[in-house]
Amino acid sequence: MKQVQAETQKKKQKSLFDHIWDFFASVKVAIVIIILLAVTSIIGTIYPQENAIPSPNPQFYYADTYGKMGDLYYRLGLSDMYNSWWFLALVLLLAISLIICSIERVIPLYKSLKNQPIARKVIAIRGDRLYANQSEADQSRIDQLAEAFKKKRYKVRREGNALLAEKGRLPRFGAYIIHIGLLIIIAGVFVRLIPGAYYSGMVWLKQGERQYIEDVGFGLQNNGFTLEFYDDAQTRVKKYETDVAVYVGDEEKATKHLIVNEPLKFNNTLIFQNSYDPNPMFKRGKVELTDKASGKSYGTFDINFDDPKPSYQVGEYTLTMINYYPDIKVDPEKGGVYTNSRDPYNPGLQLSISKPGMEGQTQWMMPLAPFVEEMLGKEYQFKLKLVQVELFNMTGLHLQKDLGIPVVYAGCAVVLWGLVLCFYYQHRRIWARLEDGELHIGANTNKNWIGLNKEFNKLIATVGIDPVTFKPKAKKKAAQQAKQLDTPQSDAPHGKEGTEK
Amino acid sequence: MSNQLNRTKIITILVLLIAALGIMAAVINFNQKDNVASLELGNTAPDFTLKTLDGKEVSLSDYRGKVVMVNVWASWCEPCRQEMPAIEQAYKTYQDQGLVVLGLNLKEKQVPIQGFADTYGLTFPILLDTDGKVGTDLYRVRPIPTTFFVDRDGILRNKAETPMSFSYIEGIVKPLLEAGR
Repeated sequence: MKQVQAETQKKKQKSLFDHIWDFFASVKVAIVIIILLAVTSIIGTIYPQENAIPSPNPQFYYADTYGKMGDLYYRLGLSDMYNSWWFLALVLLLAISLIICSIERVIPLYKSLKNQPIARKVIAIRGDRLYANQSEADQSRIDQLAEAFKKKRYKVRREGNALLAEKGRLPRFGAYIIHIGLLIIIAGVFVRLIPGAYYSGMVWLKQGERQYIEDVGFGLQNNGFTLEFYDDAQTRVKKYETDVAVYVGDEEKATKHLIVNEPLKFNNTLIFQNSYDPNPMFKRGKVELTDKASGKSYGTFDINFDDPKPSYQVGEYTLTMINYYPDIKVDPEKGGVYTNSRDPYNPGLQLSISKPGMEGQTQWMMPLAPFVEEMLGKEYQFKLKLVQVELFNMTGLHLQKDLGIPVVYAGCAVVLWGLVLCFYYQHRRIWARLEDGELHIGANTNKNWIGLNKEFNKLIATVGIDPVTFKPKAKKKAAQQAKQLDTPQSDAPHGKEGTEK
Repeated sequence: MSNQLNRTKIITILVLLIAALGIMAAVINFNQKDNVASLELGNTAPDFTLKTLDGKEVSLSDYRGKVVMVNVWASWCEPCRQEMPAIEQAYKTYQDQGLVVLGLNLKEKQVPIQGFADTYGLTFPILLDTDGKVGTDLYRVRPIPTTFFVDRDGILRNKAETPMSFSYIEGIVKPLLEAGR
């Protein structure tokens, strides 16, 4: 009666909040959210995400690498979708759904378990799937049973000539413990949004270079990078290692000889040897100026290829830099030259060589393109020869900081605990009641009837009752009848018991 | 009892929704950090001081009263090379009417920049942003070339992230030049 009243009341004044509540409490809605998350997550794996591409320019990378589909992928924002507002909104919806679904079911379950009566009607006990009885029994039997149950670590409660022994109530909440674990995992993912809690990025360092990485609050310096190959042709790399130093301000805080898979940890940030630039760069060199015809040397000068001086002096000759291309390329269409990057991978120098009383002679020097130099240099008076050169490779370090990881692991542990509770433990209850000199014992469990049966038989043997076997699952009608007769057996009054998982 | 239950529900929903909205706001804020957040058209363009190729110190605020075009470029950037003649042409054409071009070179070295300027015959001042403090940090330039247009009152009026043609520059600069008269 009360329920009917409540229901009509509900229908009459269903507020907006009720609608929201019912929406999130629906398992169907939860499943739709999970499917949406699964499908979108799959879409996000079609092409690599922006943080995993070997280019700082995603706007060109996707179109260049994957064609029109790639461009569309980038334009639709799928290339960075795990950080997109709609994906995170879906995750949040799932979190809300988890919370409300759990509240909706866990509170009735908790209340019904807390308020369950100790003394059940005999007719209900008789209806249990596992039932045994003994005639001509007295109160002492109940005492004996209580003792036996306690030995088996049951929690025994008594009320007059009735008894309720219960074991493993917590596993009934296993599903909700899993939910809590999932919520902790989601929270761990969102920890990344706290400023300073998450960073993942690459740093490229030249020999001796120091770079400050704002997001992690320290700088890294490359104190030396070694690269070794298995073969002389330098096709298969053997090892690449960096002597790295961590700087906070101008103070050196930590150093490590970084090798692959052995990161340096500083300030919760892992610094990995990740890669290296396969193309070596020019660092410093010694250039000799000779007379082309006679081969006579006029002397040498030192050049820093990263930042050359405007002019150099060799003996009485002045060499003025007209043009310097750190990474020279020839434009095949227009015929001119340009630099392909700001770094000296392939330096091209255009110099004017003069001395007092002699007009400047313009000529090129390209250490990596001797043929071009040769071709251009037919008329040259001088020869510029690189007699000594220092090359180096840039080292690529990967920085990874994620304060959410311990939270995610904690969440995983909770989920695992919930799963163990769900799968390996049962909620067992045994009722005993003495009525008119007859002892009735009935038992119930949420799973593993065979196990309960064994334990039950051992227990009833202590009062001298022969073993029994559990009855097959009651048909729906009978179950409903039993429910009407005996509410405590169905713990969740709204019939949610079956849907809890 | 039903009332109490309802209140609990309402409170739960409100708390969850507010928390969700808060997190979403944080998400959007987080994603925007990468984009231009502080640089908004219509605001005063952030001032800076840099050395020029000739060794002089130049500030943006020195040019208050003129229309300033700040072009962020580098010699290795193909579209930058492409638009250079158009910029030079615009500078020559509108210099007398109060247009200033500042070519802000991103992280390159003196000698190659000088060579580039000579090759292209650039006459406008070239600023050396050796560590990217102005270009990448203050003005948050991502792709280059990027050009900022500052009006006579020092207000950031326009921003172009593509290589520009002469007529494109004209289209932006002309109204700005006329506006201040």
